[in-house]
Amino acid sequence: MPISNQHLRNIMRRIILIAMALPWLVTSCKKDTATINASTELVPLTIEFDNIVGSQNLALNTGIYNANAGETFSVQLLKYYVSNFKLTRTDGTEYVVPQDSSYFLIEEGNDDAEEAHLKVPVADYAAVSFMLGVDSLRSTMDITKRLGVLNPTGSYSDMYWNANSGYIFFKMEGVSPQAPVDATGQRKFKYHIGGFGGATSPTINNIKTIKLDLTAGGIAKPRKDRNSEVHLMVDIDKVLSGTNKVSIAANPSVMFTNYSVNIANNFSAMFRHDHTHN
Amino acid sequence: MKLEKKIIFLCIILLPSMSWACDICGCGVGGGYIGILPDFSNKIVGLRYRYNTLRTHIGANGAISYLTSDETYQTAEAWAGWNISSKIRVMASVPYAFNQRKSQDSEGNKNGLGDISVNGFYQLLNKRNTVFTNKLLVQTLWIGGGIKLPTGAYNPADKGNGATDANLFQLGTGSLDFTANAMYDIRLQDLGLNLVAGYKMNTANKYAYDYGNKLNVSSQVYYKIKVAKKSNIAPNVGISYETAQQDMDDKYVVDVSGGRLLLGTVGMETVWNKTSIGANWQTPFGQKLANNFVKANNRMMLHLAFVL
Repeated sequence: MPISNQHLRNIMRRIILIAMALPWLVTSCKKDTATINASTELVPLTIEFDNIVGSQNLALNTGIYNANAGETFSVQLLKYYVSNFKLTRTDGTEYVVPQDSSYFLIEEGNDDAEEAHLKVPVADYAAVSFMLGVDSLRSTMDITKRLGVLNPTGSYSDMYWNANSGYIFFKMEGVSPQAPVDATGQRKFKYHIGGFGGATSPTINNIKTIKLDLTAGGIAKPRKDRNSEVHLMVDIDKVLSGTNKVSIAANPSVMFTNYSVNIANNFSAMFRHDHTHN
Repeated sequence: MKLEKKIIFLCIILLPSMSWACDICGCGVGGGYIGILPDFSNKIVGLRYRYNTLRTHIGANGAISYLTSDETYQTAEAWAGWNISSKIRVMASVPYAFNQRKSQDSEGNKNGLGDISVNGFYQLLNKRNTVFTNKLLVQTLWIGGGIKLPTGAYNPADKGNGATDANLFQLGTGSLDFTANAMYDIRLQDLGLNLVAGYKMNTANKYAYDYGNKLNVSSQVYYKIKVAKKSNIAPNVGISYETAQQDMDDKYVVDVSGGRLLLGTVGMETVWNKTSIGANWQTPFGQKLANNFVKANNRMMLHLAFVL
């Protein structure tokens, strides 16, 4: 007996109905998502500064990396200040982290100093901004207001020049076959970059503000019982090979000079948001 | 004549089935498709091998970093089917998983028992008609439901911050899950169309992690070529689409989870007496997995089954 079109249609209708009903039945059981607690209580938010070179993780001393024009280098020391954190909520409003708890020294190789631990209100944050360096106001404050990593007399004195030059915002040292032999017989390069504008006499200003959108990599959702972490990649390849190309052979040592502006102008391209854990 | 026809039916009709083994690899999606199974009158046992690879820990805008991992999920699965009556069938599968993960600065692997699943099916339709005066039209429709047991190890530490971006590198979900399936097959002489839909509802495991529910639909066209008495080969081609809701970690939505995946499939099923051997290869046509932090690569499946 030949099958009728009507019969086929009935079967197809039955299949479609079953297929359509299944997701409906189950999605209706799904839990509601958590509502945001509107209290003013502060919760943890970690900003991780993960130092890399191109697609590789930065390995102190052992890693050999390419710079410009066939130059190669290894990093022995990498430290920089990040400060003045601001977070932009998804609704566009901003939370400014209180300045007294907004200075961090990131230090490669020291597991306790690769993250900025912030306390922020519960919210969904779509952008983060921070300063690479130490602002002029703080740089000129009384020493009693410059504690912890900003204490220029203790174990952080290697990150400080003097009252007028201020803090060394960014310090990278290492060796390179293209660097000239120094007094100790090593081929060292040293980049000590800073300058907030000067306290008593005007100087260069190498303070850079970095703003990163978190939308593509995942917005941060700090909550009371969670540890939200924004993972930033800091590509130190850009220090020498950013917009401004820096030759190690020609400039093996850059400190408080006008040339340092070229390196500081490469800083903003170092930072990118990779992902977020919520 | 009638009896002979019947025997041929039993030996060579291809019937679909579903399994949710390897249900983590693929970001909650993927692994649902097992291809087209041979029909069996009483009992069938088989071995299935799957090979899936994923790239995980991709950064924002597709950025590759030293954290980016290549993960390989291999599953060997022993399965069996039993026709309790002409309309009721029970199928069970016991997977064993070999998971490997590799990034620039770390390597890891996990081997062990996966999640055992048991499914029951009811045959809603089994119809044979003659159309166009002398062509045979065969239709079957099975519906079913089942459970997936938390027999595979779930390690809550692997979900933790910084460990991995998507909670995939597990042997099992750690949860009791429920499945509903529908399988429709229509065949005009040697040319067949096979449609499968499956839904998997997951519950939260004891660590309050709830993998997103999954929907899986696939459509295959196959053509049977008789090569000898009681022996045929059936090349098949089709597409499958899988989508998963986002996971829930306690009361929070996991942003890096869920997604959708459209795969193209080519495969071949062979039947020789009571033995069937099949293989298929799938390639992604489109995907958005875990908000693009995970990318599925090509995958393949091989199976061997014996009708008892």
